Amino acid sequence: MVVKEEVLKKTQAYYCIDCGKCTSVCPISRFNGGFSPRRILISSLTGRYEETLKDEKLYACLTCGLCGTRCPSDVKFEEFIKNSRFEGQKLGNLIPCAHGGAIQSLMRIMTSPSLEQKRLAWVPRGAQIAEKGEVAYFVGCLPYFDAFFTDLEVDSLRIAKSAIKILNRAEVEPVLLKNERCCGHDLLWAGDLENFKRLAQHNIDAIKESGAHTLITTCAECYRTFKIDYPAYMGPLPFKVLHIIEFLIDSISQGKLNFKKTRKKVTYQDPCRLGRHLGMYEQPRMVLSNIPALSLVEMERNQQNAICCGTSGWMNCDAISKRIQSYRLKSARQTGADLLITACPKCYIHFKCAMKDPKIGKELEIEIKDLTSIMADALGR
Amino acid sequence: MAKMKKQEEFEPKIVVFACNWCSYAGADTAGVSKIQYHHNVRLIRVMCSGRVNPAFVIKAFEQGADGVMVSGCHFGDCHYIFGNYQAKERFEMLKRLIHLLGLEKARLRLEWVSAAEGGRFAQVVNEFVEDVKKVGRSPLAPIKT
Amino acid sequence: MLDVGRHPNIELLTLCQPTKVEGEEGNFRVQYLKKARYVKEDVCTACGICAEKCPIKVSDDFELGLAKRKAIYIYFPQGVPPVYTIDPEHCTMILKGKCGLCARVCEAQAIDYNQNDEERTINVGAIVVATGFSQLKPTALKNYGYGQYANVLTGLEFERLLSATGPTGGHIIRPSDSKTPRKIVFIQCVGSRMAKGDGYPYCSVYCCTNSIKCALLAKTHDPDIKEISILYMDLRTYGKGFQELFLRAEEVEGVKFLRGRPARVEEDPLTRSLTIMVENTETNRIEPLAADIVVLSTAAIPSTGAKEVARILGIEVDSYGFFKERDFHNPTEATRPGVYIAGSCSSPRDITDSVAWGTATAVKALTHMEGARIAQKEIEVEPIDTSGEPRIGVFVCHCGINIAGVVDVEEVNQFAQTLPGVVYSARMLFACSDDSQREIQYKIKEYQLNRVVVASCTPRTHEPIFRETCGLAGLNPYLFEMANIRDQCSWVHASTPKEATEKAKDLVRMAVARCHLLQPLESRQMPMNPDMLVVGGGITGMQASVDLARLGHKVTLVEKEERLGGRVKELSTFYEENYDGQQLISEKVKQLESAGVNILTSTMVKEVNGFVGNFEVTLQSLQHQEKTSTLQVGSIAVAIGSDLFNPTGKFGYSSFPNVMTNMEMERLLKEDSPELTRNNKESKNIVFVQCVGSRNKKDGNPDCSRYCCSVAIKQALKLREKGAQVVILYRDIIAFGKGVEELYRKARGEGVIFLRYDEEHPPQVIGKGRATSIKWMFSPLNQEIELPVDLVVLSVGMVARKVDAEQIQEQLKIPRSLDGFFMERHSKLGPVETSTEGIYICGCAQSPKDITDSVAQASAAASKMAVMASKEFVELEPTTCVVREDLCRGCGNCQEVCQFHAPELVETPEGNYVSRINEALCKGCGTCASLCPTGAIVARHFTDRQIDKMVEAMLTGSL
Ligand code: SF4
Ligand code: SF4
Ligand code: FES
Repeated sequence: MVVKEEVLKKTQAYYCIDCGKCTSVCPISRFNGGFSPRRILISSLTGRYEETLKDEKLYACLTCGLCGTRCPSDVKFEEFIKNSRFEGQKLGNLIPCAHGGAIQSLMRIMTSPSLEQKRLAWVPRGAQIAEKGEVAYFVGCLPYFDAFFTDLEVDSLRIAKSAIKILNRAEVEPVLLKNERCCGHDLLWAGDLENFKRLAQHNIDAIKESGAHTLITTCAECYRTFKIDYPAYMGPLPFKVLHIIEFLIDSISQGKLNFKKTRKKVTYQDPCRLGRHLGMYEQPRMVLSNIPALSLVEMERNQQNAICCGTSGWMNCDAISKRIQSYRLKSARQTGADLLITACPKCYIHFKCAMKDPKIGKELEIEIKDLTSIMADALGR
Repeated sequence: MAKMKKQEEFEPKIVVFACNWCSYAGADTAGVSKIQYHHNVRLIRVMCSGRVNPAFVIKAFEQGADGVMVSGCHFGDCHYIFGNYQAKERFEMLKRLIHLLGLEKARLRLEWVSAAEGGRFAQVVNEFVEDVKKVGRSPLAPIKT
Repeated sequence: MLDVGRHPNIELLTLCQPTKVEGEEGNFRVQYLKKARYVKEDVCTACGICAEKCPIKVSDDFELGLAKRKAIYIYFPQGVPPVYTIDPEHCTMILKGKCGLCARVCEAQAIDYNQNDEERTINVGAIVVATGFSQLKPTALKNYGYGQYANVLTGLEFERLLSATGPTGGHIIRPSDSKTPRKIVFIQCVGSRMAKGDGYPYCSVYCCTNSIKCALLAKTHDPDIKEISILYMDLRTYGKGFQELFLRAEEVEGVKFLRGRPARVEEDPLTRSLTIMVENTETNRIEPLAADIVVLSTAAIPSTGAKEVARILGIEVDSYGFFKERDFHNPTEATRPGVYIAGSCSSPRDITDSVAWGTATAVKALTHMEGARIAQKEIEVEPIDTSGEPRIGVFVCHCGINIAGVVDVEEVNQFAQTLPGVVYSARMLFACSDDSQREIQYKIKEYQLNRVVVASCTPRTHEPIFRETCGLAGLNPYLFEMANIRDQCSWVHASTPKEATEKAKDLVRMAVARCHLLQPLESRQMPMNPDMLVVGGGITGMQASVDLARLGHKVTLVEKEERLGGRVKELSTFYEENYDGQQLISEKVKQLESAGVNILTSTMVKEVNGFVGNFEVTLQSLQHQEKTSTLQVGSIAVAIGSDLFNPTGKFGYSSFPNVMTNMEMERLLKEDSPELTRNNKESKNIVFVQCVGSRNKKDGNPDCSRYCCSVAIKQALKLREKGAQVVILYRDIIAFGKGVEELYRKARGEGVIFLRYDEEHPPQVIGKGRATSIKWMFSPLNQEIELPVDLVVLSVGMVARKVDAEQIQEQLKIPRSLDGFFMERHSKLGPVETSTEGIYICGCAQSPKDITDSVAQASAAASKMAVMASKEFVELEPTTCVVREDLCRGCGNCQEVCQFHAPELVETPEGNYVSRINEALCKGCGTCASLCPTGAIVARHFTDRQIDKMVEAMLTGSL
């Protein structure tokens, strides 16, 4: 039971005062009476931690952090969940994964040292990229997503192509890592610390080898993972990590980029990892404001209060996540915007998936684009 | 000397998903007709090739399979009409994923074998085993989960 | 075949020959001779060790002498019953009392050299004859060199070469030197369509399509085969999808089709290659063709001994020796009441039609039985508790030496004992023998085994047996798993015993791994409503209704029009019969009435709900729009027929009054219109154009419409009688089937002129106000011909009904093919079934047909429905898919992919949609489960987890 104490202490679970504010904001709870962060905490505190570890509900949490914004006692619930999942992994829990667990399996495969991936075939001809250099662009799992989600026609690689376009325009010739691995976010949050570390080590080594001192990502989850979890579990990193939003802000302020008029009314989905986990609320909005004629309208719940896209780490994909997504898409439509902007490829895919619905699809449809893509599309001459 | 040779000889591990009505039956026919083939394959029976979730195949590779074959009825013969068309679509997706991972395409195979085609089953398996032997042990073989 | 062998209501008497039939329909006494097999059928396990050891080699009949078999043998690998037979003409033990090796090697002790032929008798209500056909030995047709030149083969011999299970393992080789041939020539009509000499005047029906299929197979099989030519006279690709096959062969695979019938084949004595002299009747050149192999498409002839069978059964044969049908609209009945004929024993037929015919005889035979029921067993035992931790029993079978001769069974047994959850493990000599079965039951009870693994042969044949054993011991039969260590291990890795043993261990480990996760499943029963609905009151629907009502079923027949009879009622006198369509229909109506069919005319199906055994149908009256009624039935036959192609705008139809369709001509003939008769001395010039809206890629039916050639011939003959000059413009005369070719010949004899045109150059009808002439490019003379006309008759094809078919497709959720006709479950083996159980199709709704074929199919559909209705319950297999609604996102993937319409998105009280799978419709393929993004669909008995576990057990050794 040392473990239990350690987890409860580290995540400040002991502080829980049994108020239930968390449950009242939790999107899962909202759509499913059976889920209550408070109850999970209380029962863990009252000696039923083992049960918590074995309960399927342990994997229902989106770790979106919304409860944390309300908790008067500052319990780090998502950290509690993450750490408890590490314990669950040790017990050999069966994790409810979407797509038969195929995606996690791919990620575990990537821990193999002798892998020689062929993941760069998508790079457009004429794009300026390098094998070694100061700035590296971390593509993430996009090539795999595109190969996997053909029926959704996600074209998530458009985000990567856009990123290269932006970097090139700002006179950066990014390094693309030939054998980049998954950042490990999903395995980490599923509790598979061991394989997470393997992935992390591969990536750190590869980036070091490339000589890059700055790493740019276009994915909210990769960003959080590099920014918070790599240092936490692997020690300090020998390179700086930027989300492309930050890079855009820099380049714009240095006058390197300008944008053409784009007459569009857009709304923005705050990804949990970028928003609540890292407090990046203002920056994306600022970047968008640089596109002339673009108007941003906010959904009713935004920034701290934004609602998650409904699925995290390819776990908890179910009836509830669909309802969360439907709710979110309807909110987006209610703003009157004609475009929904995401800043995380997974939000983008999950929403795309939700819209493909034979019954209510029509009520959910809205054009959707990643922030990186819209910025690249709007680049001026 | 003899011992060393044994170590060198690489015996691949191959998973075959076979549909009950045609391919599994075809493998049985090979048996009834005593047509010999390489011993490296293990069949997993599913009712239809359409049942083969791509995750089964990916996980098989993850766990160190040197090759995976999905096998069903010829087009037009699927017991459930179009299950094998689904299998074909999924297979195309798997091919892309395997390619991204850098695994040789020889490691993944889709074959239509009818219940009568015992000889063909044996031939397909033999070819597959030979092909996999040529590309060698899977780079994922030592991975543990 | 397996089904026949296993069916509780079928007693198989193989190696038996009837010798005498007494009595009458409903009560026959059949004497037969049971020939000695010299092997005890109930003991032989078909392990094959006897044949392996038998020293006597005999030419193998099944392989047409292309391979050898032993004196103890199984006719072919999938033969049923799977037992060996001693060929007394070659076995030296039986001939001379010397050898006896097989008795010594047979572990099951099944050999009995002392068996004798026995006379037996059996009482039956009806007799079905399905003795098939034989093939003409083309030796007599000396000019083709068969039997003289090694590389001249018959079509069937070539099939064996193509077959993966054949003597060459599917490699096509030249018999003279075993090399791959580069050029193959097929010669059609060898012994068919021969009015004189050593052949037969009729068309053998299946050979054109069969040669095309063989050519395609050969082409795709072996890229070294460069050139395949088919020499034909008319390409009789008459069936559904056949035309497409032809187009693929010609356009995609480059098979050469040459119209011409060669006179001889010559061999180069050195190379043994062949030369065929043939006139290409399309280019008018004599083309010597070189070939490495010549394939003769030989005639189908009455089976050897057919006359003898006819004598014993007391039925008549026709002039060729095929069994005679009662008449053209009772084609499955022989001339003696109570005796039925199926398949090619009455006329050459392809597989599809043979299956339909065979099925059709069932409903006829049933009229002589009372209360036929599928046999069912009931047992009561104390159930084994399955809730606790797995207690697995493993039984490893020796199968005599079949497994034990290669795999170290004891090692496998020892290994099994080390596996988690295994509490008992043992070896067995023959796990399937009666005493072993009892032993397994005993051990289940003794050790309270709640899971059982048998490592032996294939679950495809033996799972039902062991499941039953488990059931008898009170163990849920779905807690049983097999490891196939014989068919997929010892038999195929005989030379590597060590590896085979390792593989057997893996297979056992995988089976045990899966076993841990197996769940008890209960099959459910739904009541079976024995009433039936037939949709469509043409000749097909009427026939199906009569057949069913005669068995005492409550049948409702709905027809949209005011009168029954469809198109047939408008036909004039049938050729060589003295009655017409209306009379035939009146006769059927009488039968309907006396059988008590509930006839609803001017009525349409409005809505159908439910599933097999339990359909609820809403009917709507067309006279009183507001009048609807509902009907509960267990099965439905769709017999909505077809439409005729509308030729408006083609060949002057609708612009000239004297251009008409064949159907309009039929009316003129029926009325005996004066328009048709010679006025003064001038005879009428009447020209028929064939294939209008048939075999046409652009419009109408892409396939042959099957009826129009023979109708044109018959109309032409009648018109000749009236003194008209008749010309028939055709592409191929598709006079397939017994009697039709003869009629074609007769028409030629009577002076009907047949002239060809090709698809690219269709005839043009010329005139002002009236058609006066017809003109087209006549390729045999390579010049344009213009003929004067008084009347032009367009032989229009059949096309799928549009609105009706669409509605039915919607209501019954049964698919249609691209051509718009309803799609059968399997083009050969399931011609009247659809993808939805309990719904059948017959007649022209499935594809164009003539009356004979339509009524045969109607009876076939009726048979299937009668079998359905004979069950008290619809037994629902529990191995279906179910949806976990908490996981379902309502994405609809499952609903979209399922061909059986089992999943349906339904609204929940919260306003979401979730999928529900109707277990009565689900067939358990599990395709939806692999497409479900969230894992909401659980494929029972083949769950993701069970399959993953097997993979893990195999690759990582973990359990
Ligand atoms: S298992 Fe097959 S038959 Fe059953 S619902 Fe799924 S797709 Fe349809
Ligand atoms: S595929 Fe799965 S998630 Fe989609 S509707 Fe069917 S059961 Fe629901
Ligand atoms: S049943 Fe064999 S592929 Fe569907």
